Amino acid sequence: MERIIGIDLGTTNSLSATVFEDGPEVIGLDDEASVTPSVLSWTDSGWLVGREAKDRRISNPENTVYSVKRLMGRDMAELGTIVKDLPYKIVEAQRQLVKVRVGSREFTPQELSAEILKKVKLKAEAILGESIGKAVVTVPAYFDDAQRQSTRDAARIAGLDVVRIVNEPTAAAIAYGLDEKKDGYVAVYDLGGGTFDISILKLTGKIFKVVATHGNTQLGGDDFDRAVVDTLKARIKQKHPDAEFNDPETMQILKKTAETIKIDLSLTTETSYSFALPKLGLLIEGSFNIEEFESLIAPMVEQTLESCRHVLHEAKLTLKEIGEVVLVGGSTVVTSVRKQIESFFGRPPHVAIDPYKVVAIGAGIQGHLLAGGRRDFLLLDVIPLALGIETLGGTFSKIITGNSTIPIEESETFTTNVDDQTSIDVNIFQGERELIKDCRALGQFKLKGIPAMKAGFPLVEVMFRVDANGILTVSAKEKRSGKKAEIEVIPFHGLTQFEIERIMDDSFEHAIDDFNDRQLIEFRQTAERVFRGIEQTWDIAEKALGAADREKIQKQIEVVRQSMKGQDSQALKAELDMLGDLTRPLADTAMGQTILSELQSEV
Amino acid sequence: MAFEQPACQTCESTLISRLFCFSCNAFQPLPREIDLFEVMGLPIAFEIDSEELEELYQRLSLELHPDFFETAPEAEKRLSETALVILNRAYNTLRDSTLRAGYLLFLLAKDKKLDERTLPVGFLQQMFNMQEALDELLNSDDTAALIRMSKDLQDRHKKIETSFVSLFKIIEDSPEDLEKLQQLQTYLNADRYLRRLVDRIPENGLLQN
Repeated sequence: MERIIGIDLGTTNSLSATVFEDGPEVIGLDDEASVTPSVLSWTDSGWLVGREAKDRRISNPENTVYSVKRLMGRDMAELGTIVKDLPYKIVEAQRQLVKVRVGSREFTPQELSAEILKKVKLKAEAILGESIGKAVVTVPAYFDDAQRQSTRDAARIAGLDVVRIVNEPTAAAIAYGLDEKKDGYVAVYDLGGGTFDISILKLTGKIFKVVATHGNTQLGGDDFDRAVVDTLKARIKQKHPDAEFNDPETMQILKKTAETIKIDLSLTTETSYSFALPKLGLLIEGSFNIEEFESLIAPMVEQTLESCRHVLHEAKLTLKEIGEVVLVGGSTVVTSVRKQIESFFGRPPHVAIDPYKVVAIGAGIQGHLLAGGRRDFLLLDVIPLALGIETLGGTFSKIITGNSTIPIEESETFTTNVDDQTSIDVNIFQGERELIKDCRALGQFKLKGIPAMKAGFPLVEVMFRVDANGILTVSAKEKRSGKKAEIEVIPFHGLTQFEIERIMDDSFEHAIDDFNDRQLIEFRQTAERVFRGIEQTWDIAEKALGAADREKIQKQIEVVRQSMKGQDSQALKAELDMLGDLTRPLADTAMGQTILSELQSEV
Repeated sequence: MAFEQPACQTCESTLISRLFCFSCNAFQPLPREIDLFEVMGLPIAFEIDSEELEELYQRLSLELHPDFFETAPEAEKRLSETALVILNRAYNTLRDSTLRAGYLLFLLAKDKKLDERTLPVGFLQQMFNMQEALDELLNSDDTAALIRMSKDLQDRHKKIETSFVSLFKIIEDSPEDLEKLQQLQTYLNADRYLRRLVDRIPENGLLQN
């Protein structure tokens, strides 16, 4: 059985999961190692991805790229104000694509996401000790066709075959449902770094059926940070009216401070900050309390509740009929978000599964099913938004309605307007509103090779097929002649086949192909991190562990160091595992000690 | 309406659905034109048992879904995809009253030409008035008025649905009644018109259940 892993490609963090002998779990030697921050930093020798890249956000802001997911399948107009708040440069490219400019180079969001996926893939390969070719990748339920296509293209560039694209809330529901095995309606509230969606699923026996879904692909924890940044800027301006905040380093310091304030206010009711802005020669101090923060984010939380009302309407359900509310995404940790969800649904949400891991785990379970490893459940998902075409007067004519269960296929017949016309142009849109100006243009297709006939005589039947991934394909045939009409789809916001292949050729030149080499790199990095951890907690070890245990650890560190110089990745992993076993009591105590000392300082 | 129970091509048991035989677990060869009611094992009528529809849909999905055929030979994989596309079309069409009415009318009218533009007397004028009112509301932030309009549209839809029930019953007894068929088509046109208007209402104007 060829393994299919699950990947949660997030705005802020990415991680993978699979089903091990003792059940589904994220892939990583420990919790920290399993998470790859979705951050890239350009260096002379190529991209750094993950934690090392994140560390360069302040020291090297122009070359460090994050929140790529928000750019996927979008154009400049849609991105709007996000662009000016990002410290890296975004430029317009052909067919409404955007690109990120780093130095003299330009990268599509697909290429950047591919780098993150490559990193996640390498990590998984290193830990599982096998090569990975197939994956289930998750996307926000409210991602439209262009955003889904972009995600799939990114995976292809990363050398991954995406067996299935699964909606994040659905993945979360699988992990939750298989855990709880309760029938009824479940609402999954998913607020991540950059996207929000709400889905209602019906669980009956083996079936997980998505009833309705709604959301906003441009709303998330990033926006909370931005609101805090704006407040900080306003406060600084009061004292220093001339202060300018446009340089990337200052922007990054403000963002990092805002993140810290947000996280602090999930644990306490008031927090103080103090930071330097070297470019402005300023030292800033102040404090933020929970009321201030809550009133800042209130409009955004209200927007999410609007979506909840909408989805209940679509599902034709009342609040009372919802049996459980499951939270997904890092931003659901924010206290006031949690409070408002609770008061909206009239019950405390379910938080038993880690909201950071639950999506990846669900995707891993779905991968296991697709690989043939089980058939004890089935996921029935829907297409979030209607698909259709432009008709006379700029109206949107729906061909596939929103919230239809997929896969699905519908056809529409077209004809010509003038004699001997041999081609027809059709514009494809996605959305729920009546006019195309309120919907998203997905692309245009040209029907060519129509036999020359009198106007209105040819009957071209166009099939719109949405596969189980929520992705549209279009095919056509002329009914009178039975001839297959040629169809050329020009994707907006997307890459053509040719472009993907070119990117892949380019990237393979840089790829380290040897599997053992890749594992060695991964394990050496892990070892360095483990050493740092031991060093930081060593004074606790001296109190908590006996001399003999400490000596064993020191010896094993030496063994690992020797192994790191060698070329055998599996031997290195074995020694690392051994070190992990030896230091486990230390990790437990170290954590316990930290908590203890924090508690004492509060008293 | 007469409804002949089809038999399995492999084991000859009576089929519940045209797609699959639950007795011998065989995919059924698909005819060129497949009747969506037959797919869902329902008699051809406007009023349906929606629980029965839901139950069979789930049972069939558990057998046919491509997720269970990912590692199967290519031919079988394609068969499962095609079967599920048809199953979903049947399910999505029959569970929605407007779509179901449209499909049923298409089956009943066959080659009779019905006018797909006529609307009930006075309906268009009412719609123009509503559209104008809606245009004004969209520029204001009178949520309460928007919700009232949603309610009005929903009531109108329900009225049409009731007419469908009685009209389809008449057609059952006299399937050749062109006048009644055209009347159904007219109501259906009106129902579709209402839908388009509902689509124009923004989120804050939607009815809460």
